[in-house]
Amino acid sequence: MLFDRLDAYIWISLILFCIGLFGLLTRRNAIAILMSIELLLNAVCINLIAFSRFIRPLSWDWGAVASGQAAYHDVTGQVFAIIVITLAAAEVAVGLAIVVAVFRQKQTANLDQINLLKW
Amino acid sequence: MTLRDVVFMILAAVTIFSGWVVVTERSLFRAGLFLALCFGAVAGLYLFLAAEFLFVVQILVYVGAIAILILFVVMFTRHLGGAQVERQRHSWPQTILGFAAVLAFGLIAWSILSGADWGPLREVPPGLGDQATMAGLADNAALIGKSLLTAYVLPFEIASLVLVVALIGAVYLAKPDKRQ
Repeated sequence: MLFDRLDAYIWISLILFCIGLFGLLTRRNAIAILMSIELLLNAVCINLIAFSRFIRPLSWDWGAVASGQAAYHDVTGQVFAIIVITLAAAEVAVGLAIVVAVFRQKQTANLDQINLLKW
Repeated sequence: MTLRDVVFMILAAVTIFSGWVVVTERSLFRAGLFLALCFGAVAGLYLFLAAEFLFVVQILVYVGAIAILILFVVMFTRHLGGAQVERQRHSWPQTILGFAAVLAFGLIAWSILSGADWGPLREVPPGLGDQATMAGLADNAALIGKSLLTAYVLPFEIASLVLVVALIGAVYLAKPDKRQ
């Protein structure tokens, strides 16, 4: 039963992270690099939510959990993932605005040709 | 080999395959479409992890906003006359660096994963599963909502501030010049 094992999700997250890292280091277009960054962030989110699913629960009501009346998932990983998704959205918006602004000036999004700050 | 196993493996394969297409596809528009497909498959994986609120959030935000925004900008820069097909000129140090980084990361992670004792975390602990209750809060969205407003209120507020700043910044950066 593959979907009940934590390491299955960790392998998926690892492979997706490796693919995103490869894309980040290899691509020359700014928008393609932003897409690779989104892959990295998705891999991290999968990892966080997988750990949130499989971890031993913490309780805010020790009595209920101790007596077995209450048991719940620890949603810390999912809250973390929601914050990551929020920040990813903000970063993509600002990054693409920068790409658009640069593109107006230079008519290219190839990072090899956007080298005004290069020494 | 139940239906759930098959669906899980299909989702994992679609995730990884579409991620690979995103980083290797020359045409930016196709890469953006496969990125949206990858986000959708990851949303399906969230559903397997009993995170139904995040499943919806992933589809709304990642597929519905981020992927669409990326596609819009790809089409916009194409309209401005730039190249939407990436003409890659791989310099050999860059290629070697890319492969070496990925290989190093993979080796380290593989060694960690092989050496760790995943026994206690391998399966869902007994008593959990689909009977998640906490003083009446049974579902995922309620737990997240309560956490965001009690235990994690600081990241929540800072994230909202970041969103406002990003909104203002993106609008300002993308504004056309007065000269045009």
